[in-house]
Amino acid sequence: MSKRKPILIVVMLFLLSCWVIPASATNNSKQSNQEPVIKIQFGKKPVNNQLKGLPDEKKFQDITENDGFILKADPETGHFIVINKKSQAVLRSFPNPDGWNQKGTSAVWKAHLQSPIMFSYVEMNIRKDMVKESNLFSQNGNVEFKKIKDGFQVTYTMPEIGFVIPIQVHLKNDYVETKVLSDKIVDVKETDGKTEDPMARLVSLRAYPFLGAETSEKENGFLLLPDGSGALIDFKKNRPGIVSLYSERVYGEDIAFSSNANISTRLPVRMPVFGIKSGKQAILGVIDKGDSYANIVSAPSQSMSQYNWITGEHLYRFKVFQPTNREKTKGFFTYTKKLQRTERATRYYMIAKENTDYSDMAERYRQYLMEEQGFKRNNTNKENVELHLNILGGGTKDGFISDSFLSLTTTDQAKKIVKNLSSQGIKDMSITYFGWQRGGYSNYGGSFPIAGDLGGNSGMKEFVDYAHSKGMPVYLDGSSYTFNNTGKDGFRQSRDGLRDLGSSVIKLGKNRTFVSPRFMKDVVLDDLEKAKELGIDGYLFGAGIGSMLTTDFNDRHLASRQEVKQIQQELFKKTKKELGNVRVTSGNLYALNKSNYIDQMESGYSFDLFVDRVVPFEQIALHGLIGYSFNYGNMSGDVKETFLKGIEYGGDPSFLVTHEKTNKLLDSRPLRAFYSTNFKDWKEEITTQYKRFNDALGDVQSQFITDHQKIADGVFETTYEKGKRIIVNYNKDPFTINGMKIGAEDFVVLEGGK
Amino acid sequence: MKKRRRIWQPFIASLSLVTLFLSFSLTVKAESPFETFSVDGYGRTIVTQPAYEPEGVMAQDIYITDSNGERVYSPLNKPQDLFIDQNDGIYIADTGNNRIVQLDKNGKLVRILTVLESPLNQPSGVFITENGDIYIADTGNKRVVRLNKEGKMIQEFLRPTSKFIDKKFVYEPINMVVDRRGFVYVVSSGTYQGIIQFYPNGEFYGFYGTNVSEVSFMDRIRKMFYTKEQLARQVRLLPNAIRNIDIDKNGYVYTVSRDQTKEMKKLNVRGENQWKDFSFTKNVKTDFLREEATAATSSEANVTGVTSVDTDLTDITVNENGIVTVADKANALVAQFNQNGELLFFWGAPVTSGSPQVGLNKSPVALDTNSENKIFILDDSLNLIQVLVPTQFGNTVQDAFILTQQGKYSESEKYWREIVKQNALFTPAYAGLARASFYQEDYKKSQELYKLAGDDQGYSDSFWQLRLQWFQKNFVYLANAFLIFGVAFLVIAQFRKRNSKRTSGDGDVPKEKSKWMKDIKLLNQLKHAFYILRHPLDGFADIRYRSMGGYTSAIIILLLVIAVVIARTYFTSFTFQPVPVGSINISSILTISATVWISWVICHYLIGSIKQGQARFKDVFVGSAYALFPVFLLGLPLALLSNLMSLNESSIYGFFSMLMIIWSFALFFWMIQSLQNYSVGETIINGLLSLFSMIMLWVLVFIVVGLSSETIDFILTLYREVTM
Repeated sequence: MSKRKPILIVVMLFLLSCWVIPASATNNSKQSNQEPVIKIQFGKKPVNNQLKGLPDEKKFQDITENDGFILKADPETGHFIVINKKSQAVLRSFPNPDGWNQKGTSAVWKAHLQSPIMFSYVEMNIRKDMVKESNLFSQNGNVEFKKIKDGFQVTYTMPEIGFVIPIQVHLKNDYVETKVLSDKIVDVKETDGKTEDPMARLVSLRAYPFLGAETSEKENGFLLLPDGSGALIDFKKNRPGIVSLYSERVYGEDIAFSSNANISTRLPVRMPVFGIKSGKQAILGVIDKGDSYANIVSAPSQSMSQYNWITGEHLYRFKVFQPTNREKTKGFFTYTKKLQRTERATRYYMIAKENTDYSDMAERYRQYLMEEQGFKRNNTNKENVELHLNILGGGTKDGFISDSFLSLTTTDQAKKIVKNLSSQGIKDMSITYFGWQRGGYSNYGGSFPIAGDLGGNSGMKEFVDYAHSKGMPVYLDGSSYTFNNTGKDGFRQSRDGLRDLGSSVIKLGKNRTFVSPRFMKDVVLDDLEKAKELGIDGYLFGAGIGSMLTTDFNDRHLASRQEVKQIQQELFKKTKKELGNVRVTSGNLYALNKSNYIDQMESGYSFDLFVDRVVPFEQIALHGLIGYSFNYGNMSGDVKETFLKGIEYGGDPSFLVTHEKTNKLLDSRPLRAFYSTNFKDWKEEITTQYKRFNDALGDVQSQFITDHQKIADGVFETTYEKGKRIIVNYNKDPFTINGMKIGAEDFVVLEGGK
Repeated sequence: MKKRRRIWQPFIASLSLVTLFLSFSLTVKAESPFETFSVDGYGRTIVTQPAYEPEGVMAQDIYITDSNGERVYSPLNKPQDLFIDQNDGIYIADTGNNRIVQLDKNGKLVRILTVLESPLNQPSGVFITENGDIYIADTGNKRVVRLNKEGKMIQEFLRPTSKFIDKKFVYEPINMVVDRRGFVYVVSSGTYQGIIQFYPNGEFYGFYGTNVSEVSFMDRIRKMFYTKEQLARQVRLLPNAIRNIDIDKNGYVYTVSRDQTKEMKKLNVRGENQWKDFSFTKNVKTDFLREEATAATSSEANVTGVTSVDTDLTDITVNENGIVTVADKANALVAQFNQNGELLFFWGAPVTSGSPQVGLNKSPVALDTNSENKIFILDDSLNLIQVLVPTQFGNTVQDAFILTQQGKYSESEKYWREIVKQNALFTPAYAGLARASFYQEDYKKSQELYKLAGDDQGYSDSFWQLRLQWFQKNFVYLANAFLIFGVAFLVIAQFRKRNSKRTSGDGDVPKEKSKWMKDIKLLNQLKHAFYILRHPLDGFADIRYRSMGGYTSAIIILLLVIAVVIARTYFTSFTFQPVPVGSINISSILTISATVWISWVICHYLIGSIKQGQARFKDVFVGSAYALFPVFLLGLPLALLSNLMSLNESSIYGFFSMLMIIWSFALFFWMIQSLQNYSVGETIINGLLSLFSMIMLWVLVFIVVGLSSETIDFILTLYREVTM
């Protein structure tokens, strides 16, 4: 069966491409005839190939305007500007002309900088594995321009390689939206048989890539990257001569495509958002549609050109490794044949305030999340911060003759731990049980019933009842559904495993198989009933549910990345409906609005050399909407630092504990990554940390963070809605501000008004 | 002792290669862009929390005032060396810009040295003495210059002249150190003679710390067979050149070179290596890092086909406490050792071509530490310094090791305890705690801890002490018991003598008994194993001719042997089997032995049948099973014995386990002789022939399997290409 698959896929793809391309081509011509709006048809006027520089803003035509903004556009190129009526600030879809004459930029990049679109394509007849970057002008493209409601539509035609790319620009309240009409893209050249067709195919597209781009001449701004908690690249005149490029897939790599060659060492982009601030103006870019198929790309000045720029890149085709031998050591790279036609839209919010900073951008993003993504304010009236107690139940022990269950915390022992902590005065706690599955942690598939050595279903139920009697919710780790290594739940690797485009089953390590998302969905939904019987409050999802997005090429469970995203969202929704609550580990944006808490949220960055500052952008946007915590307090090189980070960023305390001594974990290979879990060792630390957390953050849990600032090196201030300020000093020496002393590696809380 | 440990090493190594896949759901968040590892007592690579974390970068923005008085951006250009003086001043040999750059400890520019009176040309090494003199390896000018504090030149060390120096000798100094006496040790690029040592006045003193040339097995064979002319045409085997050098406060010189086995050396004043048994690659298993990298996304495609990269140590530095840090350029990793060359940590990240990251090196060429224990790493492709600061954990580990080194075991205990709390899997901490307990004469505890640490010597020493205590405590009882037993024995012996005299004469009783026993043939056959032990030749002949053994009895004996092997592995004390029981894969041991045994039976039968042997297949099968009987007999007593002995008595243990093997071998020998009816000479020849045919059998099996999989692969590839 599996041997026949490649043929099937090829045939299918071939048929599809035959059908899709002519269809969309005819569609396109029809559409343009029927357009009812007033047209300013400039015909097919070839754009002058001579690089004449940036478009002249004075020649731009008024297109539309609303209360605050005017949209003007250049029919010859499709470039546009938006003028803020109040502040007269100008948002340009092209680089700031002020720095245009700076030297040192290559001719190729000069052309890129002027062009309204940049794209990459692969020539299937020449080299299947190499993309070429190009732009409108280098391809001698034509521009077709017409006004539509609230904006304009521009169609770029590049006859040389046969591309037609239509883009719409709309002006809405305080943002301008660029929409690529993906279903009308044409990238097949009609040949007359005489000239040779290189079979150029579109791989990716950047629309208005240099929107808001600025030089570093004035050193008065920064780029905001969605890396980790948020990273800033300051505009700096001199940068070392190292090529610095940030290019990351939104929601992380797709393992169905990724090959060894392109492993990214960066943290995945959890939210499709980016920004530029220069002088008084700040622009917040949000990829609103097509986020599953987008990259965030950015480069500081001196890296590619004299401009600092950041943009969203829409992906249409994907690089794949096609193995040619059984071991999959040999093979070649190629690009997918089918064009990914989904809606693509990017919004640019214009923030006009005095002294805008990243906190203002985060605030605007929060507003977006509440208005467009269904986030609601967390109206908790709890006085106390929750302690997130993660309990590791058990694992698999490498045995002398056969492997056995390694019990680390039974439900009875867990009860004792909870009792112990609450006797220390910790009233609010939420408990997550890991390694509860029948075979313990590292057992995937056939999760229920709860491992017998831990107390079984009845033990867990008893524990849940006990916790509930104290008003503490209990969650189970649900990320294990992503894999299967037991063949239980009716799983058969060859039938239900996640497959890549080359149709091979994807595994993590030797025996953990990724489960097809559609299959996984059924398993999780089946198990919900069993979970409900235990009385637990919900699942803590993670990995393939909420924090990892993959395409599945398994014929039986075929799902695109977009569909997998919907599957994951549905799981969140259903779990919430059935069990009451749901949580996520390092979740992607699409999983957050259903969850009530993010576990293991990123608080750092990817250590890129070109990043100058790390800021809590995501935390400012999310605090007050959803709770979160960072790394486990007992699992770090620097316990103090982790603690202070939690205080600064408004996170909750979180620990991972076992009842047994930690060196027991050595017996189990997958558990060796947890080097300090013994509850006894950490009891005092947990209590003292909790008390300090509670004193500092107890009353601001539902408040928004309104400001965050660096006061001095290693000293940061976080301000909450009602005026509470927290100043954290990471330095090894005390710090004095306004006559107030902050101890070394300590913090102070200033109540509102003081 | 050391040797025996090594026998286990490949076994353990293969286990540790099984990578530690960090799961997605319960990962520990990265506080550093690299991963930090250590090695536990069993030689397994373990993950630890970062010992160092990146603080930032330095020397990225250097501005100088040019001749017009304007501030000009003047970044480093291929710098080759970095030195930190005792006041934490940072000196960089900015090779590409022909200058020495001095920064303060926060990275602010202090001054730039170009030596106007005699300009530097590609200086690639710098060293500051305690009184502030600056030594510069001026590579382009082929000299070492000595400047005073103010940067005025006071001395030059040019190419040494001596009758010991070859004409072909190339003098291109790339780095140097100066000892307290003022002797200068110069590393010259590509020089195989070693380090050039100068008197303080600049005279040549001699070569120092020369590496030994590496002779491979093939070289030896060549030497045996080649003629003089052929040998002369061969590339001469020269020792590897020394790459870099450092000196500690006690005058020990540390060198790194691109050598297969002696990558790092610690030399005393006479140039003798103090780390004779030390090997970098044995400690730092870089394949682990690489596997980790491929594991991240492994769709099966990527697991195999990883090419191995050599190590390429570029620099070494020793801090005040004797902690040694080295940089490996090939793997872009940093490793840290204590004074004795024991590994503390190593860290790095998979080498990627992406944009540079803070804390990660692309091409580390030099490193040094300052008084705050920060590590500064100079990168000549990024043209900057990466600064790493020790974490709380890293500091504690270093302190603990230093205290233990100084013999302050009880003081170190506090630190080891803290380490165990923070990382219970860091087994060197248990060794430290064990040492402390041993020192406090709490042997029970130290024994337990040594076991956790995987230290069999320590375990055995504790055991020895415990046994001594036990003997001392129970001496009275023991002596009394001994006396009583002795008397009883004598009495019984006397009694027996009298008895035997009385019963001699009527021998019918045993005969009747044997008749009764005959009914149970199987039992008799099993009992025959004991007979074989005493009379091997007759015994085996009885198997053949009196059918004193059958398939059933043979299989029972085999099963018994297997059971004993399992039990022995399980019960042998930690002293003689220093691996955790869980990590021994009994099924693979059994599979291997079973295959060997079966192929022996088949091959020997076949060889026997063509070499006029008389044994049937059944005889060979049964005989081979019976010949394993000593393993059954001695296995458990050996395991028991191992629990009563310390390593001091290992020779006794070794004797008995050897006895077991030799006995079994002897039985095999007699089995062949008796069953096949061979002479001694024939037995030897046929035994060897059987072994040879066994090897051939396996070669054949591998060839067949290999070829058929290749064929399948070929067909599959063809199919894929066609269907593409």
